[in-house]
Amino acid sequence: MSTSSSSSKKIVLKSADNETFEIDEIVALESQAIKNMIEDECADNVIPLGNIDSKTLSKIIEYCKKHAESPKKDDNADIDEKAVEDLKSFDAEFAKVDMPLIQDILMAANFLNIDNLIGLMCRTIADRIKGKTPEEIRKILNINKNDLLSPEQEAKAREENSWAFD
Amino acid sequence: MDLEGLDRLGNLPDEIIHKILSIMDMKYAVQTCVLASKWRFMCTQMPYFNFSSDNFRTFEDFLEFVGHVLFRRNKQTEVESVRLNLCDFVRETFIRVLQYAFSHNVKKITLSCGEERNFEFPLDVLRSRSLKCLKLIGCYGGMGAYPFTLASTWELPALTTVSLDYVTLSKDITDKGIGLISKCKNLKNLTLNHFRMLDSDAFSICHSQLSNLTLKHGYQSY
Repeated sequence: MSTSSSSSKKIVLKSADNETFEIDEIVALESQAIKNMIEDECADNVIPLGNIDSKTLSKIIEYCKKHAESPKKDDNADIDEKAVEDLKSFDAEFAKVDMPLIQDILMAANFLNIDNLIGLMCRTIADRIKGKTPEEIRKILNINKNDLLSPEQEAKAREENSWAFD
Repeated sequence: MDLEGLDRLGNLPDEIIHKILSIMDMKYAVQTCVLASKWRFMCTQMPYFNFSSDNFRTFEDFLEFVGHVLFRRNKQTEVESVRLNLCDFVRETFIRVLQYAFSHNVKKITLSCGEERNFEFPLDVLRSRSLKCLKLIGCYGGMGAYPFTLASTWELPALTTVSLDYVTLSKDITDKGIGLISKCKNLKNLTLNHFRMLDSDAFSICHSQLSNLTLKHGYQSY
């Protein structure tokens, strides 16, 4: 399994607030978007990520590091179950952050194309809005007041989908 | 920099919101239509189904719900995956959802039953050129009655992965050497877990493409 060593190739990521993060290439390859850039040789020494702030980026790097170090499912059928459990509990801990950060991570993961992380953030959001009223969900997701339906539109939506509302 | 008041999901592509909705039960996914204008028709464009009869008072309510979802859905949108969890069984719903999914090129199907019931699913309706992954999760019913009884041969040429948990293999299937997969010529991964073999204590598997095989907790029953 991959371990970071001083000899491995490094990639530098630069956040929107101009903080730089030097990481092993193997960690950066968790992002399909960066992988494509490296393969197409359009990645310079420093990859600027103008829409990701340093707080979000450092969380994403934490995630990619852990996942890059863990054995991949396809590598071998006998992956050790302890490693799978370990990764699961890491993911559960990782997702214990506030909703704005969850959504920032999701947006960034979508931009960087990190499939597992998109899945994890989507599951986390789904879990948090499960069983909540529309009013509560709007608050949780911070839905913009200007985007709300008018009372008439909302009544129509409810009527059209009445079989889904108890 | 105050970003706290930002509606972040509002800026995400619909595909991501569909992924979030796909994790939720379809009933709750549909309820999001009142959240905001962006969410109004989100569910009708979604390429995933996640139906469970658990969240309905009666099975009739569930049937009506399924009918409405299929009717109101954008017919041009293909179906990527289907999860169907039934605690009671009505042949028509089962067939209706699956046939709709097949005609919209579904790739992945997960069928499960949440209760200890003994009913047979009509798995002979499984006929699709697009289906790649099939998962059946039965449950342990008293007296070892697993609700999925596999008796017919599946016509699923694109299928690569099958996972069967708590299923019954009929004598016809075991005699023919897992005849149910004989027409699934692209099958690579087969997992059988908690399976009982009716009036038989062995079977042979002969398949040219199969590369991963897992067999666990099989037993003979009469």
